[in-house]
Amino acid sequence: MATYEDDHNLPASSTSLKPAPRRPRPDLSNFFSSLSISPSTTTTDPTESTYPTDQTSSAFTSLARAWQQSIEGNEVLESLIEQLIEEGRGGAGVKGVDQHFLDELERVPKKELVEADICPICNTSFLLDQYPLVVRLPCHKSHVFDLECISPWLKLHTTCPLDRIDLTKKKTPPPPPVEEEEEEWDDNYG
Amino acid sequence: MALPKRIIKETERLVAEPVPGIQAIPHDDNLRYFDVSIHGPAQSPYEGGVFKLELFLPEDYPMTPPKIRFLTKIYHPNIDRLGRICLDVLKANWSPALQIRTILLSIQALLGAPNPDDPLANDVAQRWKEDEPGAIATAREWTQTHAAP
Repeated sequence: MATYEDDHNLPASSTSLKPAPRRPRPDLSNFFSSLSISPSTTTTDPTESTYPTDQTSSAFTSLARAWQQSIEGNEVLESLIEQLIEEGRGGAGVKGVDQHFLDELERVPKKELVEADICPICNTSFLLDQYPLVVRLPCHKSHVFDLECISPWLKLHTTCPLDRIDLTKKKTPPPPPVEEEEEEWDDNYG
Repeated sequence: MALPKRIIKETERLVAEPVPGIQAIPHDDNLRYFDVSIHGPAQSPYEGGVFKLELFLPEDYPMTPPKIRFLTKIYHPNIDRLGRICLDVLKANWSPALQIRTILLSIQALLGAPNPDDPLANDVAQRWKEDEPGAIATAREWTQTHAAP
């Protein structure tokens, strides 16, 4: 079929000026909505104990899916997507404590606190809050934090911010001794 | 989004009680972005130099570390040519109990005690190990050329 260029003796290159069909844009709505409930959101709802691993992973996965639809033949992006899928699968890098651990932390009653006691994370006196919710980490009696401040950290890390002691290691009880209680021989049987 | 109270408090204290030899000033239009200058420590090849850095507090700070980069060219085994810094507390050893102030002090200390066994700038670290006096002389020259106050 004769094109416009043929008819008018124009160099064929002018066809390349036609804009390439737009690639579909990745749909990021899922990714951002999954981020909006990021681990920094503090909650005392014990039913939410499944995150952060699951949540971060699903965010990675949804980001990967969103981009997958919009690229073709771009090696860099493809390898990035593979990486995201991998991270989503394993939830790699997110190793925090569960909600149960946070619930079990020792509470510091208000009457034990003085004006000069500040949370090392927000640097604010505990008593500025009329109803301070303060917890003590098991590593040291002076390591106290607002529950609201320490929760997002411990959901992603298992260490005390002040001494980097792994709190999960200290809490894990030694494996119970294997009971080698043999079944009583019943010589009346058989 | 409103600036967390902690960042406001840190900024106020940085201005009211500055660390000797360290300056950190937030941008007017972005209070998470700081212009930093660090004086090279005495008795180091960086003595007499003033080094400019940029510091950015990410959205989830202090759960994640600040992002910091040297803007002034510097010859140091733990700082690459893009100004990126190899320092444990800026990565795996970050803790939310650390602050802008403590991190900048760590960077100043890193200038006083280069660690060529944990390099970021491999060629610099290599030279530091093979010819320390030569490497220190280069660091001193670079300080005079690039970090003159």
